[in-house]
Amino acid sequence: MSTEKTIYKKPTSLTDRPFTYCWGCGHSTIHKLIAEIVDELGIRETIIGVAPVGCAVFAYDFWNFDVTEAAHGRAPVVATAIKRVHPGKTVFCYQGDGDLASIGMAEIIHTANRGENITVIFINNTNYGMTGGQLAPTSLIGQVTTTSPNGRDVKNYGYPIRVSELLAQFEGVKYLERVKVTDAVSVIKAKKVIKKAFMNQINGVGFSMVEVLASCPANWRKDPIESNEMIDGEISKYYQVGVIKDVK
Amino acid sequence: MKEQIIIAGSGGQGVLTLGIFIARVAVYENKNAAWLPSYGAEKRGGFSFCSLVISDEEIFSPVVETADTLIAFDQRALDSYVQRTSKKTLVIENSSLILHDNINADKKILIPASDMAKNLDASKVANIIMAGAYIGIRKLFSQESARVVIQDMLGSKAGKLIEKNLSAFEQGFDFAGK
Amino acid sequence: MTSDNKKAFIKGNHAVVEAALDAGCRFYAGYPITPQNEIPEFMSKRMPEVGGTFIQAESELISVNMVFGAVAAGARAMTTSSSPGISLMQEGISYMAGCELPGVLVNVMRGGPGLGNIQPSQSDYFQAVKPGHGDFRMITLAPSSIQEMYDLTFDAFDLADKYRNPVMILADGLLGQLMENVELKRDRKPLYLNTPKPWALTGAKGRDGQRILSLLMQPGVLEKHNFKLKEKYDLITKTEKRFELSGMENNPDYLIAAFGTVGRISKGTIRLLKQDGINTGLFRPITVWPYPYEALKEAAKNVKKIFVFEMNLGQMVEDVRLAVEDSSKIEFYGRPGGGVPTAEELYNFIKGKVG
Repeated sequence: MSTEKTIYKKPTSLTDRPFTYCWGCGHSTIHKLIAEIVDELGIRETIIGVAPVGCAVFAYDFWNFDVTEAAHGRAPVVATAIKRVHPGKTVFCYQGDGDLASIGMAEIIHTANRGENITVIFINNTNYGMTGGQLAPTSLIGQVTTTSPNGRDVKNYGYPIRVSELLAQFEGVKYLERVKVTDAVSVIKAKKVIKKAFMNQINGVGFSMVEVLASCPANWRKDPIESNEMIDGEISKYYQVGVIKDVK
Repeated sequence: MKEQIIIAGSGGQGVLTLGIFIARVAVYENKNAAWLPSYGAEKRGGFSFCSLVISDEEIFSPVVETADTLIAFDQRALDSYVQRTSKKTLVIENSSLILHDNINADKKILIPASDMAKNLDASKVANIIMAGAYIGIRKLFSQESARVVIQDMLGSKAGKLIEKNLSAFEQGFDFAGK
Repeated sequence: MTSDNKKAFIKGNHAVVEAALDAGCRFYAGYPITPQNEIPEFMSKRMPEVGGTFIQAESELISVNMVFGAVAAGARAMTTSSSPGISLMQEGISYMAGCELPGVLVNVMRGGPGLGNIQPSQSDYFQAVKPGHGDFRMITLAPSSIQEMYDLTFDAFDLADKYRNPVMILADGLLGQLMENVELKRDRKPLYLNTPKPWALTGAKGRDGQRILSLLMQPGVLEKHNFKLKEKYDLITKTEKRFELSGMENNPDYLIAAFGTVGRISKGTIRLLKQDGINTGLFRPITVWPYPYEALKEAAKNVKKIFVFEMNLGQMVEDVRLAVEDSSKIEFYGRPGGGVPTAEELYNFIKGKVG
């Protein structure tokens, strides 16, 4: 009778709550990709997420599956314990660059080194978003932030850390890829990569992390388009997208 | 009855095991026992030390200030713990490794435990020889209880090792009886 | 020691392990620090035997946050440490309190501040009964024998689940290292072990996703949450106070208040005083939070002095002051920095005060 055909619908793994992230923020896109993947893999009832401290601390408002918070930087070890308690469940943590690359550096390194069979989604937007745009370990050289008003000077602040390359050396790490979500093509690609990182866990491959270069227009003081251009330009020049490690 | 023991020596001599052994013999005879090892800076530099309190009653403080019995495995140990003895303290010295002492105690026994252990072709049983001497001279616990505990502590190990330890114990016990 | 032995002559640190396993603990994460190293060492051997998870964490921050994850997932879980490590764990303790998670912690206290030393101490009374950041409470049990190391560790798991709240065993280096004969209660049934935990994260099977969180940003919500926690703390305070009171039948002139190791040593002091014809009672709190104020107040009513003995510079004495109101009756003697008092030393202190 009806000629209507559903060509798109909100993933079951999203709640009805509209995203509250800033305009152009990468989190909304990546949250939705994860929800779509969870639907597609049919794991909504068996997945347990760990949210970070930072803007994405509210991730649990948007995902309709089990999620716990974790103290700042500790998400990978909270995820480790959940996975050890429920080895049959899919466990992932979602962390920003302040959370993962600064205060949680020990946690991510040792979780990676232990080769925990979990999935990590690492959002790199080169600053501390939630606290108002301070310098992060990932901020680019010269980047102006609220705590580097004259730009990141390596003499004072050191160099931006390439976390994925750092983790690549650990035997326990099986899959690392860096993606961006600046246009339709890169979003489709990012989804494929994130899905693979979850599939790896389900197939028992081992520790997999996807680093997503994400924009933070509000703190970068740019509009969303300029922000995406910045990712496509100088950010992905320093943080090159592509496979960093993939152990077959 | 209440018996407070200090056992001192160097790492590898079986000092802690000897303490646990005597404590377990006491527990086997339905006494209360509290065994406390040194785990602090004393442990570094090769020192090994433990104390134990054995009593018919509840043991309040497990810390031994002045020993009723001091068992010293070597010169350094004896020199270090001499200040925690009194005239009434029973002192058992491993005379293989202790050449001189200036302890003013009524009851002393010098037993060449390390040499006796070597003669048994098992240097690791010097502590059991000392145990035999202690049980033999103190007469608080029976030889039979000690034999049971030796077998219990070595439980899973080979029968030959148990034999060696029982024989070491007896040598110490007999030495004390002389 | 075989697992069906009823009596065992073991260290306090070992008793903690056996009690945790008997109480159904199946997840342990810990980091080396003296004087509690035997706990992770024994755990690394024993936990796999019962099919649980042992992880040597890479810091105390990691171990406590692993416990956070394990209890969030519904398991009974524990971590252990000693004073400097407990300072780091305060982060996870606060998060567990905020999220109402039943983690169990053991603090085998050593001397401080800073790196201090590794000798027995009671220097962390404050950071146990007044823990972490934020407005919360932690049930804190203070054993004084190896039997209590076993019994109270077992209790800690039941209490944690009963109230969905972190529980700490406040031991010290002496209790960790001391060996005594212990009755292992292999047939004791853990309470609440099989009580469903509908709040735990197990996957959203047949339901919407649920959250474990302490971040409550909407106006008034956190205040409401804290009031809800307060009700729980009030219930614990009403229900769970525990203490040992002895010698009151002799209408003692004096009372000693001491916990843990000093509590047991004080019994020796009381015996020495008795030889001089001086009757002295003992008040030994077993829960130091909730503190048994009323019982102490009652016990202190007719005594001339209350002697408070601690292995620190005076921490529990603040609670004694709250309990007895008349502070002029209180005499404090403490040994900080790893000092363990003898019964004679405490006897001499009392004799010096009472003539």
